[in-house]
Amino acid sequence: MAGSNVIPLRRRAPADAPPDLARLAQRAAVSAGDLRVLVETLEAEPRLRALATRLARGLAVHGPEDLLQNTLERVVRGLASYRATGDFLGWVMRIMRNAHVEIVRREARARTRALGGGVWVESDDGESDDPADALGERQVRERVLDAWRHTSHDSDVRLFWDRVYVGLSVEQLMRRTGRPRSTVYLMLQRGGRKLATELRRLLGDRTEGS
Amino acid sequence: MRRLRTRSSERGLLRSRGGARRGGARDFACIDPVVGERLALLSAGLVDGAEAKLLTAHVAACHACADDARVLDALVSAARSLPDEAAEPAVVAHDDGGGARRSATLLGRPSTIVAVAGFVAAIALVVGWQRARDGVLVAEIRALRAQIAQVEHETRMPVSAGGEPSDRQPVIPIANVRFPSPPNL
Repeated sequence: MAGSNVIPLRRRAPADAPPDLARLAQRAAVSAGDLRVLVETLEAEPRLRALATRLARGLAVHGPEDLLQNTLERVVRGLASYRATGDFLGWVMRIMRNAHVEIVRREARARTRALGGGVWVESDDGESDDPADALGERQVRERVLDAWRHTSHDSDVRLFWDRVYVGLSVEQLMRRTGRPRSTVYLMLQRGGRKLATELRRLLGDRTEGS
Repeated sequence: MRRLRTRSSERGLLRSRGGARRGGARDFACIDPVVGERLALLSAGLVDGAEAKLLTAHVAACHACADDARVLDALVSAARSLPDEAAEPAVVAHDDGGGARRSATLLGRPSTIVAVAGFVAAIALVVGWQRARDGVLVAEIRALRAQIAQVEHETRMPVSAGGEPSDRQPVIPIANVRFPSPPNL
């Protein structure tokens, strides 16, 4: 009999098998060398490139390489938040889809400006995203107060308001509500989200009204 | 110019949801909802250390949470800069009337004022009572002095040379007055 009689329990991985991206991402969060390897691996990842090509078809001036670079920048900045509990490539693909939406909106804004008599410019022109910077402080306060009045019947919102306006600590909130710390944290999360949603809605109404 | 900047900023705030609603474009999706749900805690200043690092990195990677963080930060900073009187109607609206749980603003700040007012009123009451009691004592002392003076006047036995009473005559103290006859005991 020629060859070995030992039957392998599982097939050997081929030489060009994709690396374990999740582990590589975890190492890349603490090691610059691994980070470089991760970026090179992602740049060459065929599924990522295919998605970038498909998404970039609807873009006016940006191509798949722009989308890929935008995505990789975000991945590098947010690598410390990857918890290694899911598919790393899926995580990167979600960032790429969001980056695509952002580029679509950026192009739409630039197109609006170009139609208004200007020239086509990229939107990274220093436009401030900070509402306190552009909106008057009084206007922001009025809208926040309106949002609070509309949602103050909700116990979660009241707890969040007690934290940010009254300035109560978590221990004081626990004594006030008689609930454990974990519940107070959950209520604060929900309250903040509800209040922010209402504020966003009010801003939308005012914008459409104007 | 100011108005243009304002409207531009509102578009920035609405970029994730309002823009999608109007333009019909797809919306941002959170890349890790388990982490993204805790974003309000970061804006409320309730996380630090590794948790804050995780959330900050998440915001740097996630478009949806970056938008939410902008709105939440604007909300928190505006709420912190609200004057007390500006929030007063909201505090009244906050009170559910049932007395189950009232806002700290309703119980905290006005209750301090009530406590101080009560303390001042109590002090005023004590001082007033003491003054009134002193007034009564003074009146009683005056009345007693008047009685003593009257008794002294009645027991005075002035004898002048001309048979007329004179103020210059020595007054016999009441202790030295002799009665015509001792009481028959």
